This record gives sequence, C-alpha cells and structure tokens, in this order.
Amino acid sequence: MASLSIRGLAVRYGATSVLDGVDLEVADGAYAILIGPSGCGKSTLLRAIAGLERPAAGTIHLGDRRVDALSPQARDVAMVFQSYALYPHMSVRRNLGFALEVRGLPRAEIDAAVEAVADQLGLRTLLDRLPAALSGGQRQRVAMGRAIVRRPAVFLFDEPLSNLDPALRADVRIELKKLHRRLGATFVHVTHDPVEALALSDQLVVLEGGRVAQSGPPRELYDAPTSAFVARFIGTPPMNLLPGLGDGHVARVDGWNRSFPTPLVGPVWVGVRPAECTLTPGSWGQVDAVEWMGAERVVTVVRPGFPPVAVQLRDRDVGIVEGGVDLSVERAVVLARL
Amino acid sequence: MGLAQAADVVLWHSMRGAEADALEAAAHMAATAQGDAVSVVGIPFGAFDTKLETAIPHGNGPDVFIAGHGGLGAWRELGLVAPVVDLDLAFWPVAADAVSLDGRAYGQPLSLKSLVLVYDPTQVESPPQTLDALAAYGDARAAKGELAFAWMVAEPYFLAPYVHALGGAFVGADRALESDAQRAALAIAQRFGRHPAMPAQPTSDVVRNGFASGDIPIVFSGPWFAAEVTRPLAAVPLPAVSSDLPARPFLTVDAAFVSAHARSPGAAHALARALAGVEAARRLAEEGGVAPARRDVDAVAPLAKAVVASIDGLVPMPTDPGLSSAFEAHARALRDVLRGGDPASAAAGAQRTFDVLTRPIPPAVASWPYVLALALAAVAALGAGFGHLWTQRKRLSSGDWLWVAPGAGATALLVGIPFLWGASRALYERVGDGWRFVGLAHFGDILLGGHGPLWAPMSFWYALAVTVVWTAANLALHVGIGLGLAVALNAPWIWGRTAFRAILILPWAVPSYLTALVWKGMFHSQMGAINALLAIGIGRDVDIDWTGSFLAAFTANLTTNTWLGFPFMMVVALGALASVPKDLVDAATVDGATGWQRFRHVVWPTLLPAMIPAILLGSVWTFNAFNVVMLVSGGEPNGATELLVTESWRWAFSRGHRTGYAAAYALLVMVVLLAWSRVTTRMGAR
Amino acid sequence: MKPVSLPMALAVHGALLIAAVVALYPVAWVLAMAVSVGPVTGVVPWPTEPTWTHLAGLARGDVAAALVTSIVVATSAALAGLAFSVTAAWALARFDFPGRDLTLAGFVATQTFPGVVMAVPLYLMLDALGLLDRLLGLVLVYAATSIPFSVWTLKGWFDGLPKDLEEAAMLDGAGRFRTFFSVLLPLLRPALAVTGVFCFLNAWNEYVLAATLLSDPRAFTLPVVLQRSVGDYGADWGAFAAGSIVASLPVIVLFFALQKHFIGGLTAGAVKG
Ligand SMILES: Nc1ncnc2c1ncn2[C@@H]1O[C@H](COP(=O)(O)OP(=O)(O)O)[C@@H](O)[C@H]1O
Ligand SMILES: [Mg+2]
Repeated sequence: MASLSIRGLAVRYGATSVLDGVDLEVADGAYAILIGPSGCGKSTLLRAIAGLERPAAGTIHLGDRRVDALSPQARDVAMVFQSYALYPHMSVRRNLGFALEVRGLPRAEIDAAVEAVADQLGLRTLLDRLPAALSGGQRQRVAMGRAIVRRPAVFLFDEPLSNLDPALRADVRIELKKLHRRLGATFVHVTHDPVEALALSDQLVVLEGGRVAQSGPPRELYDAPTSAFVARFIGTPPMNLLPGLGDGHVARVDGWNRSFPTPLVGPVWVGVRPAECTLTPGSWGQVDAVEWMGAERVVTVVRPGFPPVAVQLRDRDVGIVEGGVDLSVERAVVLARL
Repeated sequence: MGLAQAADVVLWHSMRGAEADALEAAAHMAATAQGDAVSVVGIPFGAFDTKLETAIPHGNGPDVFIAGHGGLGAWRELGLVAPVVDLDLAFWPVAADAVSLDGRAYGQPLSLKSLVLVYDPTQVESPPQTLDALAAYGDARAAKGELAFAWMVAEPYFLAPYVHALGGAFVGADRALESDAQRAALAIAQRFGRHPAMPAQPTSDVVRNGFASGDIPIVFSGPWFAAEVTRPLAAVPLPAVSSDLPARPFLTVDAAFVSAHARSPGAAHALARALAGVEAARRLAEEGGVAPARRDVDAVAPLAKAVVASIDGLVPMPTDPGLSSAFEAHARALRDVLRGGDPASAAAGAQRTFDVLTRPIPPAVASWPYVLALALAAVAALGAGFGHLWTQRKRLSSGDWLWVAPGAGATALLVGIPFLWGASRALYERVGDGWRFVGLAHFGDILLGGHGPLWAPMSFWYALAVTVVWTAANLALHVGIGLGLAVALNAPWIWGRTAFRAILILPWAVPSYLTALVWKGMFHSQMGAINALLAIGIGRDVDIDWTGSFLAAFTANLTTNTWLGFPFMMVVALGALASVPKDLVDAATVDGATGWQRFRHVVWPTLLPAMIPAILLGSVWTFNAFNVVMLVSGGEPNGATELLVTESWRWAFSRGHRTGYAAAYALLVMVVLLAWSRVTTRMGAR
Repeated sequence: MKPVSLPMALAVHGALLIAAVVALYPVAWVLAMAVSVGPVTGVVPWPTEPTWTHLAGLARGDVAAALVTSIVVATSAALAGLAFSVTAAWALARFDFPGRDLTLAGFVATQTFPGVVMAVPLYLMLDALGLLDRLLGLVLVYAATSIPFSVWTLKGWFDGLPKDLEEAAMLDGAGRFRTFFSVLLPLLRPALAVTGVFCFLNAWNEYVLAATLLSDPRAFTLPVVLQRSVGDYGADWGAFAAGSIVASLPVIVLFFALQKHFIGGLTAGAVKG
C-alpha cells in the first residue's frame, strides 16, 4: 500500500508537450479519479505513473520510493487497459496467472491465487477459455482480475467501463467500489464520465490541457469549483454560468436584483447548480423546454444575451413550468471570467 | 613414389556422364599405381572458372584440374598453372601446341574435341563431303517437305570451321575480325541458316530432339553428342567448302593441368602424367568415348574417330582471354545475316562491337586524391554519426542495440564487408593478376557513353530504361496475380483450396534454372509449345520468333518471370490477409460495400503495410533478376533486352573479365535502387 | 456465411483453375523429362521412351547426401535467419534508439547491390573467417542474405500488433525477454511461417554462392549436385529434371506443414468486446 505523490511532472512527444507541470497527491488507500476532456492527457498521466512513458521532468513517488526512473516492472503498480490488452493466445487462467508466473511463483500458489480471484469475479467457469471466446463484460473482468491477482500497491484503470453497456457499467461501478474497500489499495482511475467520477472517487482530479485544474474531495469540487472549466465539467446537467460583473465586493448579474460576495473585479461568472435553484413566475426569462426524467424535470430557461439556464426540479414539486419566470437561487459561486 | 609419404591429390573436373566416370576410374587407377590417393571432385561447369580463379590463389584449389585448354591464357596470367617439363612426344602435335604458350607446355593433353558431321547411318548412305553436296541433299529433302540437317549456325563456334577454311582467322593478329574469309563465311551461314531443310533456330535441344526422332538425319556436333541420343550414329569430318578447302573446326584439348599452388607438386605432376598416359587414355577412349590426344591410342567411338580423321585441319582454340569478346562480336554478325542482313555490313558491325568490348583498360591514375577524399568523407561521416549519437544520448540504451546487433552484425559482416570490397573494385580494373587504379574512369565511360551511343543496346541509359520497364511490368503482374489468387483462395466458399494452394506454389518450389529453360523451350518459334498453343487457339499457323523483336523477347522474359514470381507474392499476401480483421470486413459489408469496394477501401489499405516489404524488396530483386534474361532471351535481339545486371554480369564474366567495370555498373545499379527504395518507403509511410 | 452468387463462384473457380493449369504446365514438362530417355516435344508434355533411369540415378550416393546437406543447411539458415531478424524487427519496430532509421535503410541497401559481384568478395571473407567449405559458413551467408527481407516483413507485423499487449506484460513484471518469448512470438506465428518459408527457399534454391564457396564434395548442396548435369557440351536434362522433382518435394512438404499458420491471425480477442 502506498500513497502517490507527483511533482512537476512533464511529458512530451517530440515538440508537443502533453503534460506540463502536473502536481498531484493521492493518499494511501484513496480512490482517485482523473477526469478531463478527451486528449487532455489523462491516459498519458496514468502511463507515466505506470512507467510506460518516460517523463521529461518531475518526480513520482509511491510511498517513500521515488519511482520515475524505475522500469514498470519494478514499480508495483497494476494497470487495466482501456483495450483490456488480454493475451489472445493464453487461456483466462494463464492470463490471470501470468504476472505470478513471471515472478517464478510455484504452480500451486499461482493456481490458488488465480482461483481465488476467479471466484471473486465470477470467472470460475471461464478459466479455460481463450479471450476471443469471452463477451465484452467478461473480458473486462479478466482484465481486472489480472490486476488484482498481483496485489499491487497501486491500481491504475484507464477508462475501464467505457466499453460496457450502461446496465453493466452501473454494476461494475459498484463492484469497483467494493473492490476498493476490500483491497484497501490506492486506485487511480481515468474517466471522462462525470457520473462515474462523483460516484466512485474519494479524490477527484480534473485535468485541463496537461495540467491539474483542481484536485480534492468530490464534494469540494462540486460545491466550490475554482474555475469555470471545473464547474462545467462536474455534475449533470453542468453548472449554469451566468455572465456578471464584480466590483471587488459583490458581483451582479444583469436583470437580477441579487448580488453575491466576491473579491473579484471585472467580468465574472456566477455559477449556479441546476438543482440549487427554483423558478417563480416573473419576467427574467422564458421557459424554452421541459424534459421529464422520471424523478425530476429539467427546465431550460432563456433570456436574450444569456446562455440557456438549466433548472432541475423534483417532479413532485409543483412549480411554474411555462411562460415568464424569475430565477431564485439557493447558492452560487463566483468565478473569474477571462 | 620417391616420397616416403603418400600424397592425397585433389582433382577437379566438370565432366559428366560416362566421360566423368571413366576419368574418375582412370584417376584412381593412376594414383593407386603411385601409392597416392586422389579425391576427384566434380564441379558444375558454370562455376568452374570462377572457382579456379578464386580458390587456387588462396590455397584452397585443386592440385590437378581437367579442363579445356581455352582458359590457359587467363590462367597463366593469373599464375594458376604450373608448366610441364617433360611433355610426351606421343601426343598429336596440334594437341601439344594447344596446351603450350610461348613454347612452354602447361598441361597434359587427354582428349580432343571438335565439330564433326554426325549422321544417321540408317537414313544416310554416303554423307556429304562438301557444302554443295550438303545443300543438294537438303534441297532434295526439302522438296519432300522434310528437314535434312541441323547446324547451330548462329553460334560462332559452328561457323569458325569455314572462316578458317577460307584462310581467315577467328581473331586476326591485329585484333581484326573483319576479313574476306569472315564475310564469305557469313554468306555461307546465311545460305544454310535460311535453308528450308534446316529447322528455324536450331538450339542444342532442337538438334538433339530432331536427330533422336529421326526427323533430322544430319547434324553438326561433336563427340559429346553420342551421350545425348540412343539412336545409331556415325560421323565424318565436316563438309569442305570445296575439295581443296577442307573445313577447319576449332580444336579444344581437354588436358590435365597442375595448379601452381599444388600441395605436393611431385604427386600432382605424376598424376597428370599418368592420366595422359597410354593406359588411362585407352580407358577414356573405351569407356568415355573420347578422341585420345595420343597418336599411339586409337579412338573407339565413331564420333571420336571422325575427330581424329579431321586432325590435320584442326585449329586449336586461341587461349587469348579476349576470345569471349570475339565470340560475342561474331555472334552479333551472325544474327544480322541470319535475319537477312548483308554479310559485309554485318562483319563491319561485328568489328565495331569487338573494338568496344576489347577497348583498352583506362590508364592508371594517382590514387592519393581519392584516398584523401575518402578519408575526409569517412571522418565527416563518423563525426556526424558521433555528433548525432551525442545529441541523442538520452535515447541511447545498450539494451536496445543488443536486440538488433545479431542481425545487423551478421548482415554487416557477411553482406556489408563483401559489398565494400566489391564496390571498391569500381575504382580499379584487373590487369593480369593485379589491380590497376583507374579512378572514376569507369563511371565516366558508363554514364557518358565513352564507347558508343548513349541510347542504344549496350549503353547504360538504354539498359536502365529496359530495366525500369521490366521491373514495373513484373511487379504489377506479380502483385496483381499473387494478390488476386490469395484473395480468391481466402474466400470461405472455395472448393479444393488445399489442392489449389499446393499447385500454385509449384513454380516457386521447382528449381528455377530448369523451369526457366523449359519456358525457353516453349518459346521456340518452331518446336515450342507456345506457338503451337496459339495456333490451336486461333486456328492457323503461328511462327512468332520470340527472340526476333524487342517486344516478343521482352514478353517471353516477362511471362517466364511472372510465372516464377507470383507464388512468392501470393504467399506473402495470404499471410497478410490473415491479419485483416474480419470485423472490419463485416462492418464494410454491413455498410453496403460491394466486394470490390470492400477490397479497395478496407482490405487493401490493411494489407498494404504487410505487403510493402515484399513489394519493395521484390522490386529490388526483379531489378537485379538476371537468371531469366540470361536463360530465356539471352539479351536478344542484339542486346535489346539486356538489363543493367546482365550487362554487369557480362562485363564481369564473359567480356574479358572486366571486374572493375562490372563493379562500377553494379554500384550505379545500387544508386538507382536506393533512390527507388526511398520513394517506396515514403509511399509506404503515407 | 454470406451467400455468394453462382456466376461469381464459377468465375472465381474458373480463374483458379486456369492459374493452376498455367502453374502446372511447365512443371509437367519437368516431370515428363524426368521419366523420358528421348526428347519431350509437342504441346502435351508426355514422356517418350519412358524410363526410370533418371529417377533411379537419384539413389546414387551424392544426390541423397546432398539432399540431406541441403535440408540441414536450409533449415538451419531459416532458423538462424528468423532468430536474427525477429529480434531485430521487434527492436526496430518498438524501441526508440539513435541509428534506428539508418539501420532499417541499411538493411534495404544491402539488397540493392547486385549479387553478381558479391560471390568473390564473400569467398574472401569466409576464407578469412576460416568458414570456407564449412556448412556453418554457408548457413551464415544464407541467414545473412535473408535477414533484410525478414526484418522488414516482421517489422511490418510488429507495427500492426497492439502495443498494449507488451505494456501489459511489462506491468505484469515480464522483462523484455519474457515479453518477447511468451507474449509476442506466439502472436507472430503467421508472420514467422511466411518469413520462415522465404528464408528456407532463399537457401534451398541458391546455387551461385554454394558453387563458389564449396569445394568439398561432401559439403555440396542439392543445387550444386544438380547443376553438375549441365556441362560445356550439352546437358543431361533427364537427370536434372529428376533431381529437380526431388528438390521440390521438401518445399511442398514444408509449405503444407506451415500453411495452417498462414491462415487465421491470432490477434483476435486481444482487445475490446
Ligand atoms: N504517441 C503519441 N505521439 C504524439 N502525441 C500523442 C501520442 N500519444 C498521445 N498523444 C497526444 O497526447 C495528448 C494526450 O493524449 P491522452 O493522454 O491519450 O489523452 P486522453 O486524455 O484522452 O487519454 C493527445 O493530444 C494526443 O494526441
Ligand atoms: Mg485516454
């Protein structure tokens, strides 16, 4: 078991810089999720931790060990690839046991470990099949099993759920959470799915263009994003950002009589979570669309000069869902507008 | 015998069949008599000369070797043969002459070979004694629609008897080919070569087959012919031009030569002497059917007897190393007259060719400017290399190189170093047994056409154009056919797939030397299967002369090489097809792509990366594929289908051993190919 | 399975049939020559004066010995060539080291120099190494001459393999050797089969170098022995043809033994669902 500590990490492909000064601390036994838009360098960061990319600068520590110069084999990390990367010519049993086989463990020990993991993951009956004869979900389990068998200090997952259908995805998500609790190891998990991110993480890390935009407990990122980028990335529907103006004490939004405390001067965003506002009859905006989602309704309100504003109402609440409305908010954050 | 220790004498020869068996027996008999042992090694004829020239100077050669005396001039120049001190007086004087140079004998004559008139005694009662009689006999048979005689008149060796008969020399003292005698002989060649009683293009196969089947009762051949047919035969000296001008064929004396580097010269000389002795000669005459070189041993075989009967007229084959050039030049004149050309202008053309082929070796030049330039280039290259390594030192890891080192090392050692040695020869030329530094003279000569027009057969640029067309045509056919068959064989519903696969790789499996010659036979204008099949196809006679025009000869070469080459591409494509994901093809099918669209947009792009190496290297090999051209068209007509590599080969081996010139050719080939490979790899990278 | 239209099936089979006939026709001449005393002429390659003498002549000691020698030489050369090139191909495909591109280009460059001019220098080289007249020398030469093609082909296959597999193996703790032997080689079977056939044939049919480099008749390979039936004055085509048939058989056997590997790549199932 080990904590993960990254300082000033940079990775370049030729002249293009993919990671540029990443600093990150993940506590021992934490479940960290890396999230960010496609191409922001999530996989690259994961691969750098695994030792598959050689950093141009910076350090990586696992526990007390500095590992950035070590080969992947020496780092005591396991990785589940997005493509699963199962050895196509080996049976499930050998796929699971390969890492132990490589370490030269006795046959009996390998078999015991493999079977134990197979039982945990429900792979018992599939042990003698080749990967080609497995379904997508089964392959995913084998890929996870291959990591678990080794009992590494750190698990790395690169979008492990992205190739699964939605129902299966929810199941596996819960399994991952349970697995984390049971193993007590440090997990670093890459995703671009905000739901997955909030549901699983103890620590959420948002990457933007090769840097860490914000890192912390998921609730902190949800409640108090430090940038518009983070605010928009976390939560579904995403946070509404209304253009406003700050004077160093308060920020005002056009057509609204409320002001929010802020030390910022100049253009700001006033961020409002869709679930944290209600609608009253009025004239600030017009209801444009209503989507019924079962337990809730999402109402889109438009006002000229503003981006559409989403409001999430519990379905049971009787509220105004037509015509002119005013927006009342319970909580808002003020962020710099660049 | 005098030595206390028995020697083990190594004997090389390139004979075949009964002659080889008799020789081996005689050698063992002779060696045993002296208390020595002998190892008799049969070497393929085609490799014999090269082997002698490389092996003897390095002490790996034979102690004694049996060969025709024609190479003697070169061997002496290279210091390969030891003189004979006590040549027996019992040899025919002409044979003793043949193995002597400047009054010194260099070999022990064993047997005589020359052309005689072979006839079928069951059909011919009195063989013609003069050419006129031969023509009359031919006219009579031709009137009945029959063939009468086969004379490989396109070969200078077969015309030489009449050049000599008319008082000329094959190569004159002043290196003149052109003479009245030659022109008259060319006229004779024309008269008989186009005679209706003579098969068109009489190759040795045609001669043998015609005689064996009884269709052709008279052929020009030599003692070796006896081994080729089972039918009864008899022989007389070649027909005379007229009663006072007998034919005077070339005489080749097969002799036992002692290597200048023999391990035990005493034993070697003793063996050579014994092989030429009475007892061995008798054995060779009886069992091998040869014409003995000794006057005191009688010929036994009928053909051998005819050789001995013509002994007074025989002209020993000159030992001048330039002789092969004279052959090439004469052959050219012969082809001209056989196509109906005028003997006088053909003779003039032959002289021009000969002058080009035997033009003087460039003068020696100072080598230090080159050495300096090379040294500077080497330093610059090394500097650049180390500089690069230094800037890239972060990427440097000895572990990486370890994986490449065995392959790269083996290639560098066994291909790279010999290449450097071979390439360096381009700045030299062989003179005697040494090398003369000639600088860039060869390159100037090749690129600027120092010896003839820039754009004609035998010029670099012409051969380059032919080679490029050759390569492109071959590649298109190899890849197209190979890929097409692979795709067809890959279809799931093909019936008899295994059988097809097995049959379709046969052209790759059977030794190509033989199959190329089979193709050559099939392309014979009169006896070949191709013309016969075409005739069946279109319902009337076809007599395409497959070496008569560039297009025909090129087509014959191309057909043969396509046949030989498509299985390789097919196998590569079969392997590559295995790597095309089935999902991808299925996806395209679902998207509504037709078979061709699937191939064009899905299969081919996936296949291409796996095929690029085969295409790239296949093109390099085709560019340098000289076997087919040598064997099928032989460069005909008049060198029009020669490739760069066959030109290079001819300079290295048949045109006076201009190894340096050949190396310069080869280097230029390499430059062209490197440029080409850059283009292909670029294309592959896209 | 997708149904195929009848005309299409007929056309494809017809084309294959024609190709098979064309492929067989010259081979049939070789067969006919091998069992004929007299000439084989005409359109149909049918033996005249049938005889077994040529085929029986193969039982002579030197052909049988040469066959064994050739099998040993070609097999060793193929294995050595494959071993040298598959390691190099992997490194060239995957590792990033200075001199990589140059090495790749160098391999092609060695193929561009016409072999005509190479025999004599090779002779000198092997003489210097003391490998002349030794089968080991010939094996090395053949292996070396097949390496460039093999490296390029195998590199192409490595380029096409998902890199994930090697990375997964590294994370599983496998070193380069282990990754190479346990993970990559089994996946490369089709490529190894194709390349192996190529390496084998490169050595099997080679005549010029063998004839130049070998002087000890006990070391002669089959092409050298066969070529002895072609002399300055005529040739014994029947014997040559019979020998050629013998020379083709091992190739066909090899092809059959390996052909199942050509078909059906093994990467299926490596990735995704
Ligand atoms: N081998 C490579 N060479 C050059 N650029 C690369 C390479 N691999 C990834 N990149 C680039 O690096 C960036 C980050 O990639 P990646 O970490 O895979 O993103 P993601 O966050 O979607 O996982 C992308 O812009 C990608 O184009
Ligand atoms: Mg990614």
